[in-house]
Amino acid sequence: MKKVLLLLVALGLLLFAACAEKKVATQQDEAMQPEETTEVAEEPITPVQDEQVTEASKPMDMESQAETAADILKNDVHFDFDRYDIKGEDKANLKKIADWLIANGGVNVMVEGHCDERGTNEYNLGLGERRANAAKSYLMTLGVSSSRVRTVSYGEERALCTQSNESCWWRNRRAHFEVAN
Amino acid sequence: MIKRYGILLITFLAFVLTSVPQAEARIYVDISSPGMQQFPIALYDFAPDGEGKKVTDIIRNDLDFTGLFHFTDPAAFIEAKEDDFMRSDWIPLGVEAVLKGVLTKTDKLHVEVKFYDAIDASVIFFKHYSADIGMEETLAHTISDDIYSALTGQRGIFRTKISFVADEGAKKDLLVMDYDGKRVQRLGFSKPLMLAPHWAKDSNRIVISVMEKSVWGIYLIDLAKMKSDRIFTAEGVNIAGDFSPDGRSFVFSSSRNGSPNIYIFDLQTGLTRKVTQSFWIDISPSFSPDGEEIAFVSNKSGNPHIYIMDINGYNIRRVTFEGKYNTSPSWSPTGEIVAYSGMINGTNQIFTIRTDGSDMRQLTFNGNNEDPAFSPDGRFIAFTSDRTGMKGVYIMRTDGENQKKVSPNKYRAFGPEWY
Repeated sequence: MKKVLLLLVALGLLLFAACAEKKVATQQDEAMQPEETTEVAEEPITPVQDEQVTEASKPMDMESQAETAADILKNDVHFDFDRYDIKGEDKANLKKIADWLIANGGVNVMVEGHCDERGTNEYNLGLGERRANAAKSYLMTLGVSSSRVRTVSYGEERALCTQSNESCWWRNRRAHFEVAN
Repeated sequence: MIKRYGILLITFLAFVLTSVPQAEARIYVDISSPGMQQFPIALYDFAPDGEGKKVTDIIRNDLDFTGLFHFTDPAAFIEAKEDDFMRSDWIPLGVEAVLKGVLTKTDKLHVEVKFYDAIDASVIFFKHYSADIGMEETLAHTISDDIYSALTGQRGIFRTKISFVADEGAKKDLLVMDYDGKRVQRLGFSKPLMLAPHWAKDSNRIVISVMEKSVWGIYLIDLAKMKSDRIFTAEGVNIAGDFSPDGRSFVFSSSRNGSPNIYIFDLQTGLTRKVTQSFWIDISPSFSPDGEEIAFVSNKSGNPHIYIMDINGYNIRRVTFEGKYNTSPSWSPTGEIVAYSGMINGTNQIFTIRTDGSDMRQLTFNGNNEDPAFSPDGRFIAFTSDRTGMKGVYIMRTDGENQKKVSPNKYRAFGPEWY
């Protein structure tokens, strides 16, 4: 999913680069007029300037939108061992995500269900799916359309943390959100 | 002259004996008898070094792993290998069978094996083997199988293979090795995320669960045709289980209707049939050896436990009652027990239990031990253990004795299947 985000940003950059080039062409056209010769000399078209422009304006909007999504979706929902019920402490986080999804109708999300490594592989895939579905159901009760939330279970296959202690296991027992399109 | 006649006579006897039907063969080692004493064998090295030594060492290792045999120290042998077999040379040593083999190397490896019954001075078998150079393992395992079946009346497992999945970080790779961990080979099937495979009895077909593009699907790999096809996928979790004993179908778990349920996939028609209908997690199905029942995991009691049902989904009964986390059932090919992974004091251990829920036995005690898989004869179990800090494939006897790591140390290996 991070790749998708990067691609989006890259696509934005490309689009803007294309716009910038058009602008440059216009300026060159203007430069064709004899009275503005000096101005053109003062404005050499260089890649550096392109890059500066690129970093400055429109792509920032893309980036800030992406940052917002990342910011909204950054907090995982956590679960007790072998459980998939949403705990009170995560409800505010889910409300924030639901509100943002309702306000940003064009964005879909993927909920990934994960487990700690203490269980066994296959059962954890079933459990991870339950966790992802629990998070999805909660978003739906808050008004998010079912079609905008996909789920996937990774079981214990994508651990965030590899130490064998409860704080690490707790981090791994999660429903994690990513932008999906 | 007498000696020569003796050899001729033995040779003749060997021919006669090998032509006698197996059913009439004497059973020296009754493997079904509990608390049986190890059977004492004298085994001469086929050669002092080179291939002959290597082959003998593999045979000794094979037979030793079964726990059924005891090798008498060669330093105590009275008879030289070249000497004729004399019953009186062995009775004082308590040896009950003597194996004399000679390996010669031409453009091939040739082994002549004479196997004597030291009690009644008869020949158990007299065989000649030949193999291409470099095939010492196959040669040795073949001889081990012959020794094993001559003494026990049962088929040996020394030429069987174990497959496993190697976790290589960004991808997982499917590999096979000899049962003793030698001769590791890649099968050429590698995916970012996949589970342990399941083998058909023909050893040519595999079903395996793979995640691609956020969806779990099931692949059928046909090794004879050298091809793989994704034969089932749906939204959610789709996890392959065992082939049916006749190889015509396999059992799997799918959450395509919302909750993981057990299904049977008919490979002839491509149709699926739903076996369980529950809102719980029903997963990890394993066929009974007669194909009439299925063991599986369900959390319908609030925690995952092992259940058994008839193949039509009726007559569901709970098998495990101890603990709160029992998963990964594997049905013994002999039918009477199921091995599984049970959590005790926060770690997973391998257990066996009778299918009626009695006689639960814990077999492992160190680290985490998961993914039990029986050998084709049901006398051994392969499993995954992290007891040394890194996951690897181990084998042991079904009573938990003789646990040893077999997968090479360079692999982070899991998900063994023995075929």
